[in-house]
Amino acid sequence: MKRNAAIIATGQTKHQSKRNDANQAEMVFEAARRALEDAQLEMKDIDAVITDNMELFEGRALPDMWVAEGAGAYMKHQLKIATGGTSGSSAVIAGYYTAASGLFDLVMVVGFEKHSDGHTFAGMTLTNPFWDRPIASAAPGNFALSITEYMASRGVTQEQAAMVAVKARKNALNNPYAHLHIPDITVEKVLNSRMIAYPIHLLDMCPQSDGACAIIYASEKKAKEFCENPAWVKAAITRHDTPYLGDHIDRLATIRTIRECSRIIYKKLGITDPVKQFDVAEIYEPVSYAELAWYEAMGFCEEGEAGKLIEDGVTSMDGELPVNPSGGVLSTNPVGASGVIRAAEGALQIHGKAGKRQVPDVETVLVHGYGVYTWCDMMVLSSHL
Amino acid sequence: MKEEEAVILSTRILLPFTYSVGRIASRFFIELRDNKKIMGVKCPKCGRVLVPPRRYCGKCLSETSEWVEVGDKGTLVAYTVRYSSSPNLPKEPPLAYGIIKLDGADTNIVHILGEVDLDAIKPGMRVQAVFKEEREGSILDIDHFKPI
Amino acid sequence: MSVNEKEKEKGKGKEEDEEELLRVSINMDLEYRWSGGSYFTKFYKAWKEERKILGSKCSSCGRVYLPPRLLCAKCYKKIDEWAEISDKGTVRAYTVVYQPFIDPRTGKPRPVPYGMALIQLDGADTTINYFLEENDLSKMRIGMRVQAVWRDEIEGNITDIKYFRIIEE
Repeated sequence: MKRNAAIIATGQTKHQSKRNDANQAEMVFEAARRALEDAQLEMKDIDAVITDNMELFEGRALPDMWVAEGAGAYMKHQLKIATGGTSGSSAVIAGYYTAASGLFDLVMVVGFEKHSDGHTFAGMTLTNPFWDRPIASAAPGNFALSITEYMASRGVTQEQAAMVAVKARKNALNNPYAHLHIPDITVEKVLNSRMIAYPIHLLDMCPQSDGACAIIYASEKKAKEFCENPAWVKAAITRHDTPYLGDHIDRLATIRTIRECSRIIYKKLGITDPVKQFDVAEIYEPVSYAELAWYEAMGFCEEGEAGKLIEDGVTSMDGELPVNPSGGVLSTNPVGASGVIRAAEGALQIHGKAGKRQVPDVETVLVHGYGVYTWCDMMVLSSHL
Repeated sequence: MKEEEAVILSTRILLPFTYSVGRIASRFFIELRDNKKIMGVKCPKCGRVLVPPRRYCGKCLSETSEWVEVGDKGTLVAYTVRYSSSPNLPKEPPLAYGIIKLDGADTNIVHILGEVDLDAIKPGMRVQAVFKEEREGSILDIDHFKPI
Repeated sequence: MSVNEKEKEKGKGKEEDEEELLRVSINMDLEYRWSGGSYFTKFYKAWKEERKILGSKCSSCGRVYLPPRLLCAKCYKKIDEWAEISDKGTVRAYTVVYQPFIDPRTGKPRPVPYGMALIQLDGADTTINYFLEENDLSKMRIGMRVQAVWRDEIEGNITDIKYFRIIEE
């Protein structure tokens, strides 16, 4: 029998390119402490801890062990989640299952990444030794390939992608935790920034951040005790696809995982017009073009109309469906934390604690996580059961 | 496929990583390097002195703040002797190392035992840190612990 | 392992002296042994001994997979047919990389710029990602035909193909 659970608190670090003043576990400690303070809880009140990280990036085995203390997992039930870029959102879903199981009442989820310690690009290349390593050119490399395919099949332009990049960084100015604050961002500035791999400009791409983010779930019977406006989980789903980039023709356009997750969640919740029925979406966009592709995959617009959607401002802060009021992954990307940040930012909107980035009257939020090639996690949060 | 026909590739990964030790641990290593001092931090809630020092006490998740000098002497809790070689060892085998409780600390550290007869090592022995002349801010600024 | 990098950081917004925050450098140099499995073994033999490219074909849905593999994910069925794949194909996606990413086999950045593409070799239903000879974007387009250029000596490595050359067809 399924029980209900809600996100009742959040905490995150100020994300930046180098946290020389803290090691990995100390960053996790900061986020966990802030989440506890948000709910006015003590560590002893927490029943279970889920931690996540993409350990290849830091080249350090057993991240769950190293950050356990900082996450408050000393002598507690703790599990680690590692699913590439979706690690954070998978941990969020694992936390939900843990709290909804009826076995645990208060569950802490903490994700982190310390890119400055490692070699993100190199970490991404540690795939198949025969097929992948000599060529693997990190996230920008594999995205660049899929983007040229997507541009040819759907007609999106570099300008439209740059508009996504501008929207994200403008939103980030309202978010004190966001990594990139670029007040003078414009489409020109994006298009003039140096080319990493055609057609991706530097400012089309997410940063690499050091940061951690924590959320706390409460089971139905405890949620109202610690939170005035709990963010209830209405649905959660994950889907993975086959392991080789080459298995997916026109990956960004066809992205089976996002389409399947959307189809199932929308059917379950009676969503027929996502732009009208969601009040906010926090989605995972490592590169500007990806957000355009996700608009189509998530049914925010018809196929081939993503460019028009961004041009018409439908997804900006004063549009019908604000996408990524937090500034998104494009403004802040500590990979292991990024998925948790999506859920935390979604919950903040429902808690009414999103400060300058608060969207008015938020009832329903779509939260999404994405990882290497084609992994997808989705969750819907609501202000009522 | 017969076992002996199976293709096994030999692959190599060569990647440079750089870790921030953090503000707290930085001070620990700088004190080793500059002052030949071993420092710990005290948890304000449970009073434990933690060496190596860290920003929070894992048991209470309280933030630590008070620095305490622990001596360079301590008691050997347990030890072993390593005979086989492998890459990245600090010294060539046979290599004795042990768990050491420094005077004033509530947690233990692991370090090398030197200037000692391998057959005469006993838990409970008193040991003292021997620092290197040239130090760089690393746990190996202490060359080894010798019996006293 | 050595402490050979020390970065001084100003305490943010404070007037104190520069705070010394230590960083530790570690060069991870690891050797791994990788079992290719029975499908890779068959592929590898054909590659090494005959410069042939073999893909695995699902007898249920007919899809030909490169790299060859044990299972057809869609049908969840063990694959037992093989198909020979040409070393000529069509470019489905391309790019030119300008950022010198690190090659994990050497720990050193790759020389840039270089062109690379997703190439659907004739006979395969999937694409492979590999280098192009060309690095001039203006000469590239989706749908162009390419041909593998092999090295003289075959070692048993994907790099036995130097790159793919654009051809007129």
